[in-house]
Amino acid sequence: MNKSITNQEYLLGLIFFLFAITSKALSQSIQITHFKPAYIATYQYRLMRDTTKRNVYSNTELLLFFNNEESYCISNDRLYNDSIKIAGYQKLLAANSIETATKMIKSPLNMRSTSDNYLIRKDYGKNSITYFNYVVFEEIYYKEQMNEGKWGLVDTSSTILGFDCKMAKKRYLGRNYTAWYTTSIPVQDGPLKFGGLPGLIIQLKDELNEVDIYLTDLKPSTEQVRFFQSSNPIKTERKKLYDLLIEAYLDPSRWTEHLNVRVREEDKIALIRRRQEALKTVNNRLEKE
Amino acid sequence: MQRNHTIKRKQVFEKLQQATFPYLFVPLIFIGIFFSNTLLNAQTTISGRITTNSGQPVASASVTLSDSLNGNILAFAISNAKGDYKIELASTLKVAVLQVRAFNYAFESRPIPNQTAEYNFTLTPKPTELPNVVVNPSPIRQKGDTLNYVVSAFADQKDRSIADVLSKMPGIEVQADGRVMYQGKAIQKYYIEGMDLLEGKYNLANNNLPHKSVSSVQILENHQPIRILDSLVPTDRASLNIKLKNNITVTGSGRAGIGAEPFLWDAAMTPMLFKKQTQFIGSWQTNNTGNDVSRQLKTLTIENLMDQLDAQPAAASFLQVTEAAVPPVGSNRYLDNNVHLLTGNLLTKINKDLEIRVNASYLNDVQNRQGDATTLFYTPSGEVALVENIRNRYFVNELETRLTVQQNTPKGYFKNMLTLNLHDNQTAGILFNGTDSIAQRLTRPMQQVNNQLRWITPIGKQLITIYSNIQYNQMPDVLQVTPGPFASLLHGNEAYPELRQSVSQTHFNTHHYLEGTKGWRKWTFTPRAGIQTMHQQLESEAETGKPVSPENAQNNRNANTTKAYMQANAIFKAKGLELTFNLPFSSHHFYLNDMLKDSSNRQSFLTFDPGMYANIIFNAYWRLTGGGGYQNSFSNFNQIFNGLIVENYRSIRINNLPIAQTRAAYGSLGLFYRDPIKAIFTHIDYRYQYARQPYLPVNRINPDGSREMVALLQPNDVGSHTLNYKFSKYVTDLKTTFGAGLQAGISQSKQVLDGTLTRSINRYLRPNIKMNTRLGGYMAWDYELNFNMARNALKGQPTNKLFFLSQSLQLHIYPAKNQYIGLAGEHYYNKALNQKTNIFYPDLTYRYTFTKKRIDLQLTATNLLNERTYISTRFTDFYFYQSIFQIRPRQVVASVKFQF
Repeated sequence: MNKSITNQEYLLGLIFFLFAITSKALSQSIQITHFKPAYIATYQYRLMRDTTKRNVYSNTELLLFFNNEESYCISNDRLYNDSIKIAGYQKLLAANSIETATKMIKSPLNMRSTSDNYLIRKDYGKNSITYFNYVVFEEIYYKEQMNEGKWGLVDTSSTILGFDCKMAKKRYLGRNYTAWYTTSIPVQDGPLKFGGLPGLIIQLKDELNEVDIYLTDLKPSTEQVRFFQSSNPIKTERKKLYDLLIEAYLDPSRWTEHLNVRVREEDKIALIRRRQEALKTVNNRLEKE
Repeated sequence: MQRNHTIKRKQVFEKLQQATFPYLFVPLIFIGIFFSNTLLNAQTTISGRITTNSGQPVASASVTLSDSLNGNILAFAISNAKGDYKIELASTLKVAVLQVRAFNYAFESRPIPNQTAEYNFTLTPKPTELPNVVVNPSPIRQKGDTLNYVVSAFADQKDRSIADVLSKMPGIEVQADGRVMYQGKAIQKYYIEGMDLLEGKYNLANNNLPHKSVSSVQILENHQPIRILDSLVPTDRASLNIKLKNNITVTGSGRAGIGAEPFLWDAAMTPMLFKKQTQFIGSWQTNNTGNDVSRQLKTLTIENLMDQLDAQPAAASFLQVTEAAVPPVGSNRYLDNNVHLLTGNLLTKINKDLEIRVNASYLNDVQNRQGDATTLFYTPSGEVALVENIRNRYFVNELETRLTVQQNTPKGYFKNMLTLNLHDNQTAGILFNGTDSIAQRLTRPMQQVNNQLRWITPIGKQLITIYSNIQYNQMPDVLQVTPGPFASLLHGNEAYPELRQSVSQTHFNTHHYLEGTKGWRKWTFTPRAGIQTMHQQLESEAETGKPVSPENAQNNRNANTTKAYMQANAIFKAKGLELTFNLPFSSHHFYLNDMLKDSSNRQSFLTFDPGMYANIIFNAYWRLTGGGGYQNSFSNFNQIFNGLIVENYRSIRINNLPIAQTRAAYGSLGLFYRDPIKAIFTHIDYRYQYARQPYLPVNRINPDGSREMVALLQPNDVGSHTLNYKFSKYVTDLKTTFGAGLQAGISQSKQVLDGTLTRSINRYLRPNIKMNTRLGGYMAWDYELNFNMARNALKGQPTNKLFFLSQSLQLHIYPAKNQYIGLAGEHYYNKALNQKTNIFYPDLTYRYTFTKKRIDLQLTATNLLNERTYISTRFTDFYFYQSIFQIRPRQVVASVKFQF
């Protein structure tokens, strides 16, 4: 792998980031979402991305912030990146010039790379799920009803992490799930888009053993949590968003060409090639339908 | 279903009650009871409302029906926003337990018969107490960007080397050739105790290091191994570090290439050294292939780019050697160079936050440029043609050094840069103008010292910036012209052998300011107070060999300006609206002292230059921007001198101007549309500028082609309109982005040519089309077509038209993973004054990579059709200019790139 091209790619990422933060147009559309959760549940989310390698899972730490009205589910990596972006953005606001700000934004460079860039908001009152994701710079979302695919309750109990848990099953977007939930935490929530049981989901697995999500921590919270969002996200459909994410992963340049960022064609191709290779190792996804 | 049934049954009952046939009624009651009982057993509906003591509904409460208190949950419901719930139960149980749980309310439960009924609950607030979660310590712990795997947790009896254990760690994979992958991507570095001992050849360690001596394996996510780049190049790749149970690296890269013809070389060597506290990158580069390596000395980091914006560039020289204009193509097409570049960069950390950096570079280059220039000066009294054959040689000797001390902590930022630049540049040229051969030599030494300090520190909750920039430079320039020009003016109409024009400039400039920020509701105010001083000393003399030069051929004057300013920037931000106001008040003091005439000129001005900008976002798709303002500017001192200066062999400049204030007004409006999902981006913007200059530039063209620039004190109005349109659309099926754009402009100004006042109007129209296709990772092409149509009209003169077209097509092919073929073609078409030029440059590149050894072999052939000249044309208000420039001939270079 040619290192200079790789560096170019990262430099590009940096330029994009600085552009996003400093550009008048984009910085105007930045919105920092504040949320005060009562509790934070931490889950380990394991997904077999390549079904030919059945012992290799990707590991993602998910955080579920909830109170009695709504919840946000986000990967720890995205939250970390958001905190850096917010700090950078606020420095920009506080700093007296773009120059000063760019000098002070040291951190964009330490951002984590993750494919788990979504932010999932559940509004208990409206019974709705809003799924946000970033396609390069653009925040795009879709809405869904909570608890699509009805849970069937199963008369089985177990104790997990000291919680009395009960079992429920449902088929959702191509997978048969088994969930363990506890009524002792009376929120109808869970990791990702899952929820709708009479208690928090402690563990969730699919029948093929390709998805495994389990609680690792649960603690009360008094601190506000902040997410880096757009004040003007664009609405679309679930499947369209998935297509856009794949398309933008393979070739992000069409999302940036209008920003007048010039990249050598050779580097773009090299990127596409690397990404194609990378995608080959991903033949499985959570939502199969 | 159930509800419908119930309703129907009710209706039937009502009808029956009204019926006058009681004998039919009795059996029906039995039937009814019978049916309702069976229905109850099959499905019961439990509903109700959950409220607080004060009657407020409780939403999102879990209501469950179980067979016993801690038993199996049979059915459940979640209360809605009104607090209502409804559970449907299909069970034969006689009694069930109805339980209500809500966040921060006390738990309620009551046994109920399995019958359709309503149960309301009133909940008492009570904080929900969660049991502590006891999680088994995971063998994998994440801390920041580092993932730690405890080796003993993964090791088995049969395992020997660390490689055996690595393959079992989740997310890590070891391929057949020994390459370690993390999350499907090859790791970037393999460290042992933080040291990259083996570079890419880590198999040696991986397969032989016993796992028993390893305590843990760390995955460093987003790890940038080269610390000097850490602040520059982010990465999404991971590196691996072996932490042993119980500290210097040298690396670099090189390039070597040869080609023809003439004999061409291109070589480079870039060694690097990394230690814990010290890093070094050096480079030596040389070539004569037209590769402008001096560009590598240009700012490389974004941070430095910003610093350079603050530093004031060295003043321009008054003197020139006549040049043929360079063509509007890439410099590698025409640069005839012989360059050597030596650079060293050292970074040392004194402690965690404080670092010292030394950057030094030396550039030595000899460049040749050759061309024919035809200049046609058109004046109301006729055209004056000038034909010149020009051969110039540029000798570049530049030493630049910089010492930086930087402290960057979360608490503050301090950076001081001391820069010392020494240049000794010369240009020698021979020019033939049809009758005479003229030799010119310009020496341009320069010494510059600059110190820039920026200190950002929080005071209370605010950030205060203290900025200081102090700069001193000396530029003693000398232009020698043989034989001596302007004999009538400078030498009593007698021919003389040589003119020696010296212009010595000394500058001392300072700029200091204090800046803060204050937020108030939706406003952000950025007040700044500063003082800027400039001192310039100008000494010049045109020596013709006579013992005493004419008095008007000398200058000796001092210029001082002081600008004290207070400015307030205010930004208002609300959803969908951003307003920026810029309100600077400045006090300017100018002092000019002519030592020769012993006269001085002192003036003061107070200025207010308000400006505002608005950005209105209607929705995710549409945005409108607009702004406008008023601005004052003052004459550049370089335009104010009493004595004459011979700029070049055919131009004398005399600028006897007062200190002049130019007032300008400007405005802009833009409309933007974007639909990222459909991949449509388009915008249109319009700009207007109007300026009133206090004088008119006057060109006096002498019969021999020489010209004098003087200024006539008559107000000059300059106005311009510019329109810019852009559109782009990505078509997914064709994997192609289509783009189109248009720039149009019109500007007008007044000119005095040979004592006649004329109005000059310039118009241009520049449409362009772009197409860009990428077919997976195998092929891509780019096509671009640009037009430039310009017209220039002087009142009473025929209109001049120019038509320029450039198109380029680039084809990139990747026949295999390690091979690249690039085909490129550029075409230029130029038409002006009935002269047409057509130039086509095809190029070819082939590259083969030995992936394992990290060696690239590359063959580049440029200018395949062996074009020798480039003809370019341009015109301004008062002249038409065409140059025929010698460009690099066809060349082939074979090179090898390697890393060590």
